[in-house]
Amino acid sequence: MCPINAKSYIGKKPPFRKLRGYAFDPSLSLKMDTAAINNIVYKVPWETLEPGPIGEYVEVIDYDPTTGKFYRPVDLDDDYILAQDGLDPSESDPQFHQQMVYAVAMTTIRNFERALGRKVLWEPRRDLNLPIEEEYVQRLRMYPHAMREANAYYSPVKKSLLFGYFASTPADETLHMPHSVVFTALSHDIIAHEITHAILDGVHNYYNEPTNPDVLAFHEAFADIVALFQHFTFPDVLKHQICKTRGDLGAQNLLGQLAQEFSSAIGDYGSLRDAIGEVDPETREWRPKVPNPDDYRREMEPHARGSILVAAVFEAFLSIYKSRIADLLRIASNGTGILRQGELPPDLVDRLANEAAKAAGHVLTMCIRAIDYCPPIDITFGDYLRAIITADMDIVKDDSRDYRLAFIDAFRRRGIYPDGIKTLSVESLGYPLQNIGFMTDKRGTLMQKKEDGENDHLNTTTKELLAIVNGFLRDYGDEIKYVNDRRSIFYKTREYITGRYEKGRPGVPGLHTRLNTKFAQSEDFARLTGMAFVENYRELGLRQSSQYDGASFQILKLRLVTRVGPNGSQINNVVFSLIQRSGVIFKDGQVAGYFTPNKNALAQTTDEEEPIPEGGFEFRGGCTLIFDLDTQTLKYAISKPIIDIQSLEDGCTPALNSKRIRCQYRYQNGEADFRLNDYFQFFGNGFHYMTEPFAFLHQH
Amino acid sequence: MTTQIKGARKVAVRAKNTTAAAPDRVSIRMYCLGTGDCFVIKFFSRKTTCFTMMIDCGSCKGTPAAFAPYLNELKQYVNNTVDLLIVTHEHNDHVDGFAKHPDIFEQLEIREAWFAWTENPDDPNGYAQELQTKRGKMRAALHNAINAVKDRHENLKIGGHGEEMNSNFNRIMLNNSAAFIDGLDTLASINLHGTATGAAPLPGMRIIKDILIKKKVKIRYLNPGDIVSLPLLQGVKFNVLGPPTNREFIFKDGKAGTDVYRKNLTLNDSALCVNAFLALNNSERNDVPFISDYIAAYGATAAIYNSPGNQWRKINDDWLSSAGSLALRLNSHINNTSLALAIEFEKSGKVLLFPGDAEYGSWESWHQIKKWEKKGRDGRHLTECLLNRTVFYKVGHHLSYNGTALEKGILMMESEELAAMATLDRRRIAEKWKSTMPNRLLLQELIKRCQGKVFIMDEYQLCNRPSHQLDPHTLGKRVYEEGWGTGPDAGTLLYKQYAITNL
Repeated sequence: MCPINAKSYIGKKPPFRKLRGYAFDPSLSLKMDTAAINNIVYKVPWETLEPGPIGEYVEVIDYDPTTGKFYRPVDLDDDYILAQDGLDPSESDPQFHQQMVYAVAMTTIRNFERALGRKVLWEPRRDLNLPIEEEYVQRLRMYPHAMREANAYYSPVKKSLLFGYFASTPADETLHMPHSVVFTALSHDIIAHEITHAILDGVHNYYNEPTNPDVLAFHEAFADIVALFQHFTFPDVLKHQICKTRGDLGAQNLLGQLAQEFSSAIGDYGSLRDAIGEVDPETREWRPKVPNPDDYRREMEPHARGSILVAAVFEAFLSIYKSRIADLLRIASNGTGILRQGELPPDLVDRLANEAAKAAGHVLTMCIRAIDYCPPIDITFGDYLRAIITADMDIVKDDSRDYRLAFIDAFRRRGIYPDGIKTLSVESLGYPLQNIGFMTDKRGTLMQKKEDGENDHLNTTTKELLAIVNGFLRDYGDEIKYVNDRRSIFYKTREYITGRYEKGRPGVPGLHTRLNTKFAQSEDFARLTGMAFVENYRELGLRQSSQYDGASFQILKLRLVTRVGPNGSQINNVVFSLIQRSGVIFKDGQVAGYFTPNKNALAQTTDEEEPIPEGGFEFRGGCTLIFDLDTQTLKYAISKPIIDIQSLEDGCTPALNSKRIRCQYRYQNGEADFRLNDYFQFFGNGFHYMTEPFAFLHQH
Repeated sequence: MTTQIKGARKVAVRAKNTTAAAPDRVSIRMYCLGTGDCFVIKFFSRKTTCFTMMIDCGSCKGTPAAFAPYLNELKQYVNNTVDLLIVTHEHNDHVDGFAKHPDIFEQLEIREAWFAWTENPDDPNGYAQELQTKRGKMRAALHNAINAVKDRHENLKIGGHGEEMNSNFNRIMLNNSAAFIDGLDTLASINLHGTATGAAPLPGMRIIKDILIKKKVKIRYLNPGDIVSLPLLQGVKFNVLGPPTNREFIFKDGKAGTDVYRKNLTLNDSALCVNAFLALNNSERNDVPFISDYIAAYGATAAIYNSPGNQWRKINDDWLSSAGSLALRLNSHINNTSLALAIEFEKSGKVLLFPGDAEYGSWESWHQIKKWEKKGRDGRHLTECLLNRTVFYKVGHHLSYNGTALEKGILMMESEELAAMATLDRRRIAEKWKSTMPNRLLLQELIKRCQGKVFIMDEYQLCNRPSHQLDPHTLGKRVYEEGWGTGPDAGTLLYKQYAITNL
């Protein structure tokens, strides 16, 4: 018998690579009651790795600039390491640190891909938000030992995550050894938090420009929501806690307590969960915090404000969990609601933990896929609520467990209401469907649909034109559907936006050209999207498009979305966003004039290379358009209008949206007397052109 | 009729003067040197000055020549004699006047001088020495770091990454880098001594200590909880609030909203960072957090990191930004070593509060002074009681968010007579301080509590001016006074003065 070696073994590539790691952070491994749950095995999708590890999505480069040294890269394909599910968790082994950041990063990426129904692409390399020379960035870089500070951040300029380490002076000396070295790269929450910033930047790159108090708070809260619910999808962690409650059925309290206790005490990360609950100073018992709608009105600091959103989502999760386990508790207590004394039966513990993990998984998925339904700029918590509801209505037709209601209720209790809706209900929160009434067949011939369009806002021409655009997008969907290589997806997508012009072949106009020629001055399209596709755009401070007679606009993030719902329903959408810029001069509380901004936003001059007039700033509008490929409809137009849509409705000369202008100006020019933190006050340079927003955000 | 009454009063004054009388009036003069503290407090018994006290002498901006008119006026005003000199803490905006005009202080007769325990070179617990060593190290590290950050800035100018850079983008990077350097310079201007190597103490502090030793002036180092009475000053108690002796408080973190107006930072976690900065100029830096086996020789990772196409992702200099938090920590730490005093008049119970630049950590510790538990009215803590009776508050840290505690500070000052003085002058200030001073909410609260009696060195650029609520001149000359320069200094506001009676 010859021994089995790699060549003689005819087997499949393994689906997963198992890597051991901390479920929380190393400090919990030192406590008797948590040590058992702190070591878990991360199952990440199998891929071929270079030492680093360097894979398809991320590359870990362990360079420590504070000493000018490289640390040896870990080779996860090494036989010894493969044989024992990765290196042993250890604080003193930098190779384990590399393994840990890799494992958590890939787990988070997988959660995103599952929820979003497409591959995660990093934001291309560009200078700030300027697409001068977009360059595909295949791998996000991670530096596990990049600085000596209680900080970790995502650098949009370098497309890198930087993790710090520092000597601790702990709040609780029994948990951390004083003056021991604490590595942020060993905390699940911090890694998940930072990589979420990077992924969100790849979906909405304008979300790191604070145009209202919610924007940065959203970035922070969203990152924490992902970290928190990712934790809760590990049932072993929950089992251990549920076991401890014995006869106490207030298990929902326990989960909240768990969320807070294990939130990282490093930096400001913990503060995001402040609003979930607190320990009663007298009874020493944890209780959920009663939401106060004033907080949302008053809190302006991104972390404090973000904690309101985290608490809202967490409350929705608890309601969902409670309704999911109600039957289990009835069975276990024979309907009395009172359990026997002593430990819970292990089967019950298993079932409860699995329900909690399942609910957490659902909430995580709902929260992630909602980002496709958000406007491309200037997001508010209210917009996010609408996005969650709309996204969920799209994929889950029958909301038998009232998940949506749980969300609406939790947001309502915190005074978070979306702008511009008349009643608060599932129907009115979902964005209205846009029926364009026409579709094209495979050869591009236009046909009227059988069911007549009920959308009277749009005239027939617009509907026809939209149907043609839809046909074009379907071609895009067909082409991209089976492409698995991320680089090809990136470049193909860009081709569809800009068009394909090769020597010796007929040019194929891209989406940008098509929209431009069809809608350059279509008031109808302007009304639909809130973009300034109007005749007088020049007077409103918008640039002329370089190729056409019409206002210039930018197309962002064209993407194909394929999702399967719980009941087998499938959606195939193409999503993209439009952005327009205008130069507004704001004086004495009102719009005093306009200027045309320079093509290069970083030039900080007007189009004529003059300095920007006093009180002048750049104002943007944006719109996310979602097309459904199966039914050939434009489903949603989710807009932050640059123009005042009412002025169009009234038939007046189109004007810019002065309400949004005023809000943005007030916020960015300190009328609200708001600054991020004192680090920002001393070392920052205002809100415009922040090159490292997250480095500032995570300072404390 | 009036003359008769006047005559009667004169007789009374003479009669009282034979014994040391309790003061019945006090005047507080704030010298308008620029953002920074310099106070002279005179205690009067009837019409004669019975005690003169001086607190600090500094400004974050200004040449020796610019200081001269103020200090000459001061010298004249105190009549060459200071009964008690108090130096609160080692920041240039509180001590550099001593360095700029040492001659004036050499000529003054100083009878006694007080410092915080943290300045005691022979502290029996050894804490003060430890703090001083740490402070020296942080200073040296900050000094190194600032130089490195400035080098980085120069490299940025010439596109040191070796790649062609979009000029607009590069300009923005430079602007941001310049803003960062501005911030560092602002903090360095009060924490460090110019370009000299950082570890040395500030010249103002060193010089005044030398002068005091040379003149053999009695020096007292004070601990929190001390209550000092002086024979020359009957019926006045000096209650020492801070700096805390518990090291934890010097590095205390406050929570925004409930404790201070903005989050305060003082976590002492820069130790590793300090080591790295100190080693910056060494040829070999081996202070790694792992055993040396893990250090890789030049290999594949290094090749990727240094490859020409990847220059834009290098992070060689990003960590230098830690200099920012280091500077803030050093600054807060020194602020928290401020000697904080509550001067109490026994008869009326009125209190004058001079907290130096104490930050939240210090304020909180005042309420936990063991000796003072249940010593206040109705069994409350004496500190709370003192705050309740405060009629004059020298606003901490030039109206910034972190110089005044909220619930444990300003909200406890309930007296209807409350007035406040703030040493903020936005014309003469280190640039980046403008972003934190004044804190709008704090100013609002102060104006409300003092019913407009908030005297700011210069209200320039403040949108919420206390004088809009109450023109201080309506209080009358006996209460509020301004001193203007004469001759070549005509048009210069030398001081603002506020007097409290019925003590």
